[in-house]
Amino acid sequence: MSVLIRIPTPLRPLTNGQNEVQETGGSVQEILDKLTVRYPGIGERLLDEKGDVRRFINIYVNEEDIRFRDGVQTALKEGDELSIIPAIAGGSR
Amino acid sequence: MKEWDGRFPRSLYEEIVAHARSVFPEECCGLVAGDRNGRPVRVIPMENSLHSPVRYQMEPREQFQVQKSLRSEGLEMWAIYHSHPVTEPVPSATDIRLAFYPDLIYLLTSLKDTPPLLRSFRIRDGHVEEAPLTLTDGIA
Repeated sequence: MSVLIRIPTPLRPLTNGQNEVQETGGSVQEILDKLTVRYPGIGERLLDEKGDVRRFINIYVNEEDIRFRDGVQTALKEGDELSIIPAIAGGSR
Repeated sequence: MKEWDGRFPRSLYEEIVAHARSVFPEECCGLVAGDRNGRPVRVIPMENSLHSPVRYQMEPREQFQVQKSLRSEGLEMWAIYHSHPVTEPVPSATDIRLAFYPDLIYLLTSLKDTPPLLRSFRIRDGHVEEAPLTLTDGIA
């Protein structure tokens, strides 16, 4: 399945400046695995030591947060769009 | 992003301050969109999903929707703003730890002073650098 992946600005230095890349894979996990291999450094930004998606990284397939589907096992179909969205958070304390 | 000369429209400043006041004593948060020339053009108030006086977090779904609509308009995220309701408008340890957008400007305001200050920073790899901001009348 060919999937369009939208790369957020902070990760573009790792994808040669590209804001969108294409990969093939049947699940979010497969796409993450391919990105990790193809773009060195991106894996550690997206995944923790155990290989789980970091808490402050949100992944959407089309209009849906994968946390409300099957997480990284969420199945993908041809033409799906996967968006990587780092959280925006902070505060005075 | 392109270099920024520090000019920031007063109308956008006023929108940010109005947002901060409207949710006081909670922290407000939002985005500033920029055009293709790297100039700030629009304030987009976002919900602070934590509704806290000391912390903020944007709702990922709202972020997703806003990014999608900006993309369709040919605009980009330019800055992230938030308020420190009663303390100095400088990045806290929490702000630095949770700054995942090194290429964006971080704008902070505080209602501690009158008129409220708006200061701008870059936060990269745990380092904070102030980017002097000048309010301008009319277009940036």
